[in-house]
Amino acid sequence: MAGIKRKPDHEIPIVDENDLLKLTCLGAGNEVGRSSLLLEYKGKSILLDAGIHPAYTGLASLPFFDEIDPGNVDVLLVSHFHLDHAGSVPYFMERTSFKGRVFMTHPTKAIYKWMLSDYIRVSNIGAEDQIYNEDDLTNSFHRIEAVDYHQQVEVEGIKFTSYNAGHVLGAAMFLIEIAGVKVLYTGDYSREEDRHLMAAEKPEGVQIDVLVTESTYGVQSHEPRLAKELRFTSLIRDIVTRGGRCLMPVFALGRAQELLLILDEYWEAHPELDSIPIYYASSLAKKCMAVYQTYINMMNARIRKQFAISNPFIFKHISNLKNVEQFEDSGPCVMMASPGMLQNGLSRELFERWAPDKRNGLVIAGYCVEGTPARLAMNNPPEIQAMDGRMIPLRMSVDYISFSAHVDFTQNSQFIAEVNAPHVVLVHGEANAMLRLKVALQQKFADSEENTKVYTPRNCETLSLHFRGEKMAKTIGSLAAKYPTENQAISGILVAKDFQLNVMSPDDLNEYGGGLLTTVLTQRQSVPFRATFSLLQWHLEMMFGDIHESELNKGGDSTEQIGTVIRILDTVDIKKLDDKPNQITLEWVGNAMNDMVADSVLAVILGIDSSPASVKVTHSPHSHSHGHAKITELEGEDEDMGQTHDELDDHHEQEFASVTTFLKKHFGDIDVNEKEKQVMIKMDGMEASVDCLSYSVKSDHELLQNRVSNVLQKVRRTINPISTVAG
Amino acid sequence: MKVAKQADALLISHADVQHLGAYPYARTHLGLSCPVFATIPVVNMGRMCMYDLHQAKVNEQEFDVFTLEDVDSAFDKITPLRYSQPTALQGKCKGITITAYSAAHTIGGTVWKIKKDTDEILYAVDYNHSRERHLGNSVLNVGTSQGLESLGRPTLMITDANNADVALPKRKSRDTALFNTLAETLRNAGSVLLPTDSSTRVLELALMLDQHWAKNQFTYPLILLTHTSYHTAHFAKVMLEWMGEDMTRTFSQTRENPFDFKYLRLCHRVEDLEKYPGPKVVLASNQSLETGFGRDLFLRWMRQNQTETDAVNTLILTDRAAPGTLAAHLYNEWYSRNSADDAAAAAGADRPEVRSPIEYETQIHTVIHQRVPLEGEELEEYETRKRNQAEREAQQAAIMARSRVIMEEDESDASDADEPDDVNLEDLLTTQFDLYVRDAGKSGGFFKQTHSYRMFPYVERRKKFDDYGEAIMVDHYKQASDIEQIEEAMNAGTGAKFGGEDVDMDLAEPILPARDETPTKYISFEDSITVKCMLQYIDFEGLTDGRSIRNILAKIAPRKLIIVHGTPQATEYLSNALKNVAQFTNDVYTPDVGEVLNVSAATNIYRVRLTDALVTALRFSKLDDYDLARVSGRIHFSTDMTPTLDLPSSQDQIPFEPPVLVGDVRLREFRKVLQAEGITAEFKGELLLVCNDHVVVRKMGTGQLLLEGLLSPDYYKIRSLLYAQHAIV
Repeated sequence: MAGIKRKPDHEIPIVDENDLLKLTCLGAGNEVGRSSLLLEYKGKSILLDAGIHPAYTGLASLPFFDEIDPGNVDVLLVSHFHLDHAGSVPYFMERTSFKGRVFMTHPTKAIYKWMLSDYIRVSNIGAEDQIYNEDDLTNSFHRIEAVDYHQQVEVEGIKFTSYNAGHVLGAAMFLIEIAGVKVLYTGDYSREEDRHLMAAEKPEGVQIDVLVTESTYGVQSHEPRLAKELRFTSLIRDIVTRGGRCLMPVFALGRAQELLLILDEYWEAHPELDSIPIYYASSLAKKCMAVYQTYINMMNARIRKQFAISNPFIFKHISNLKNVEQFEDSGPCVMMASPGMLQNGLSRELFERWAPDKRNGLVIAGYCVEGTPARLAMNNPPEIQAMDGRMIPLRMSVDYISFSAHVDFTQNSQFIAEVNAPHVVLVHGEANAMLRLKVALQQKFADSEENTKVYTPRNCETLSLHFRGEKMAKTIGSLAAKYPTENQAISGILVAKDFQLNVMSPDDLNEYGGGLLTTVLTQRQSVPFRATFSLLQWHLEMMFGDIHESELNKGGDSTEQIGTVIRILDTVDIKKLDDKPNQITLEWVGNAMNDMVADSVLAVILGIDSSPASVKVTHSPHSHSHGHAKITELEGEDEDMGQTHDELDDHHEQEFASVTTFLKKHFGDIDVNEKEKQVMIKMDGMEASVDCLSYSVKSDHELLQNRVSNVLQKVRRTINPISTVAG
Repeated sequence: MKVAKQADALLISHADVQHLGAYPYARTHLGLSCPVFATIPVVNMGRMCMYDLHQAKVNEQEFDVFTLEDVDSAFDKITPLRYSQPTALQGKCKGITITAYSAAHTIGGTVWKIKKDTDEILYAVDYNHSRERHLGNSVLNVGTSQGLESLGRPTLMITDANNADVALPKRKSRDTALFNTLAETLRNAGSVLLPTDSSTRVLELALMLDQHWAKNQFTYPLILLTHTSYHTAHFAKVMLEWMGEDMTRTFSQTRENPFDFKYLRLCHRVEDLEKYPGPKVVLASNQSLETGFGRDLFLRWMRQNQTETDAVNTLILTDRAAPGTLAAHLYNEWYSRNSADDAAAAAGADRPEVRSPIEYETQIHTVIHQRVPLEGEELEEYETRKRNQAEREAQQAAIMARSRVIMEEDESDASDADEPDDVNLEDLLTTQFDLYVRDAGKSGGFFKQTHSYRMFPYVERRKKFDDYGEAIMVDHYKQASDIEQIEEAMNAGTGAKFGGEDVDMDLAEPILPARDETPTKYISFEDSITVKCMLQYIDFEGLTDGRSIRNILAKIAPRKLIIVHGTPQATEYLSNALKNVAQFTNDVYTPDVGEVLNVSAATNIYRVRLTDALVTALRFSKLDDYDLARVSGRIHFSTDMTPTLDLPSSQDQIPFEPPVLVGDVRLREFRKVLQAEGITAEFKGELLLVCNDHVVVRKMGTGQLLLEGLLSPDYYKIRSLLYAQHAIV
């Protein structure tokens, strides 16, 4: 079982690259620290967490952001405020091409700022090596959007909901849904309710496809909470009653608050300890206490109930230590100091100071990363190396009581079984622990004959899972009036938005399209036309067969239009208005099909002038009489036309007359050449010749040419106007 | 009343009397038993609101409409929700999903979206389009993808017309007007009464005044007087995530909770006011002036010759109150007096100015309810009865107290809370002494013990503790070995911070100041009082105004609209105004109370699976975020009885369907497209675009475009550009 291939060969050939759900660990793959996981599916891309590695400094502590193009990342979700999950958020937001949106819960956001500004301050590396500065942090802070547990957020087709993860205040698990595929990212989580936090909840009523879970504790098991607390309090009691100082290195925020609650309660119950001070030396924690006092609604029912009486985060027995100078090291005390793994700072200083006295005690309450002094001290070496290189004897007692709110094997495997996702991806665990967990899980799944696959991707290794993502659509509206029967034909429009598919009939688009509007594009084209209408009719009949003619009479309308309409193929209307003898108008509803019909109609119309058939038809006796009637109409204006055939010329003549009238008015003296339909304009010694049919000007003088052509354009518009009045 | 039993679910939008005042009664007496949903602040603040109302009533008359226990049990049954948390209903309502969205106006105020398949109902009654000090604006007025996208075009929208014909002065001028009136009155040695509610709008006022006081370093006392004032602030502090961004931002930057009032004093009793002599500003519940401290103070302060001084006190109404109440009466008086002056000015102005206060002097005939202490024989009789009872209780209490394990911190606190303060019964004092003795030797009990002294702190509380609790603790631990010190501190007792504040609450004993056990009786009499005061109305209702209502409705564009909660005039006004909104639905209903409307819009729907072959054969055209494709196929039923749509077989004749243009082109944007192509385009009127002088694009209404022009190459070019703006399927 251990040898499961990540990409089995027998997998169905992948047709579409988009169907691949890709997971890439940029950090926390086979390691603890710098959590960052890239999730890509269907062209959407989500980054989960952006932490730093506590064991490295500078750029080396970042996740492998250069493996990806941050500009493509749509959303960054941050599960909680610990540095190994949120530490590189300002870097990612401000120093890369990332433009997407960032979400975290309210308390995470509130603490994030203080946490990281503290980090900037303590990380004692040169300014040029600093991965981001205070400004970056402030800028990033304002761009972060805060969400609440259970609040469903949708960003361009990516749906996500945060769930309570236990662990620390504001810690969230994210359930992400893209195109129906659901991924649950646990972040760091705890399944055990403690003094102030709820246990992580399992999203109800959803089938999760991919579970990305932490594996910090691998196959270890925690001892029961009560036993552990008892051991803890009695241990501390032992240390202080034997006159020793008790050092507890802790993360400034998170577990520390739980320990404070335990100690405060214990001291309250044991008045005899009252003379022994408990110090909490962290200015960061002090800053963030207000956050703990505020976001009570994100904690468990017990705290909320207590809150109704008094705020439990107003401690009675804990004093804050502003700096070491203030601290009088005289006699027994309990000291909680950060950092949590004794890397540097106050906890390290006190550790070195107190290590040689065997009355003193070191209580390690959280998870310690490999290689940190706290981890080394857990092996009880005879001496330890101080920060200045001296070797110091280690005589103080060293105890390890895990209060770290991560799931242990029992809880994790139970949660994995409950979620019952076909793919389980392990992150956030040291290689050994992770491998053991993987084997244990596979064993378990093999026993229960579940077809669950467990993956442990390394950093920068892309895990591709294939989801065909069954396409379900909703049929709505009139299409769905009746439930379908076998082999029924369905035809409609598929509307896809944010991976939601709806099938509807085109008529329902406005109603159910969710904001879509259908548009009817009516087209109206004016075509110069000078032949008789009957001729046009004849030609159209020849070409299209059935045409339908009706009188247009929009009586009562202010813009009274009287004329004739021919409807062709029930698509295109040809209008000839009595008051516009030289023009016909084509009108149709625009779409590919109708445009084609309109174009062919137009071709026929334009061809009439030159068609020999026209000549033939207009010479037939019948047509002649008809045509003649037309001529008589026109005779009032122009009288020297005897032949219907020359009717076109007649119109040209008319137009020419109009144009020359205009030009005369405008330029005064002009030479009119009737035959060529040309006009010569002479002004101030410049000459221009105008072709009145093509409305073109020729002149040696640019100035005049421009002026005349301007006039001509206006004339042209006047003679063949388009309608710009409403209606 | 019948409705209570029939209802399948109850959604509560705001934590004020208007929205949930009848809830405990309905739960207890009308047989309301369905699931109830509300946001967390509505649950918390609603409870405060009902406590305050109950307490106010009890202080005046026999009150048995609901008891505090009713309130508790009713509010415990509410399912608390968060914003944007889709919640599927169970049982009979299966298939319905409800989601709460921010409505502003009150903390946790909710606009509800009720969704079943494709039908969406949007319930938005009382919302605020603009931001305030403590709240952001309603999701209805947020342009983000989060907001309207999920709320736009609901099948049915239910909204209010309350403010439809109201134009509000700018917030700034309202603020200034309030501050000016306050300053004026205080300078003239008068006091100011601001009647307010006890749980919601009071937060805005309190915050505003506290900040103003802090800014100007006023020394005049600023007091919040409600039965639940402390807890209102207490809860407000922990609900910052429900407030506006400004709040959370200041909080995370300064780490100072804005509801840790620096100047505002919280009082529970009228008597507390005596500690603050001289002119002062008091926020008192309830805004109707019908009950509670508000009325109490009104009757005391606004009377002619009410005080030793000649100072005229000022009453500032911030709320129009429900019709029929005293406050509403006063508002009308103020309005009619004032409107005569500037009716003309107001009519023209878009943003009217705040009108100045008026001198108000009138006779008001009203019934006064009071609870007065017993005297003489009545008192003696009562005391004998009480003493016997108390002795029994004291014995029991003593036994209980002794048997208590010290670990049970909470419980012993509770027992303290049960004890009324300043009781005049020796028996109860013995009980107290009993506990006192028990704790005396234990330094650990120090903090707890101080709780017994229910003295309200009037020292500068902020100085008294740091982020870890009381500052006094540091001293305490340094000197903890010194028992004398402790005893001293114990005797000083009252100096410890919080004192009674924290103790008042327990789940069994409601969050209230301990009941005053002074024997009392209720009296009520009619009286005619002469009111003499300055009267002003400044709108701090935190509701949207008429113009925004219209804008928001036009943006949301519901398919059907029901208008409720408004005067007939306002309702009429709104429905007429909406007729002028382009493309707004004609289905606008304005039902009367009790009228039953049928607004069903049965949408047909079924789910169908698409086969891969079908999907790959589709040709999508893109429009904004949408992908559209024409699909045609045949339905087959698979084994699990889900209809599956597959490609039609090759013999099938696919009937021709005329292509459809989808999209709504804005001429303004189209103009840019044309210009990019080198075509001149200019507007002749709103909906008319003339291109290169001989082609016209005209908008004839929604989804109606007309392209008109001379036969020319430009025509075809413009046409193809126009087509490109649409998805054609």
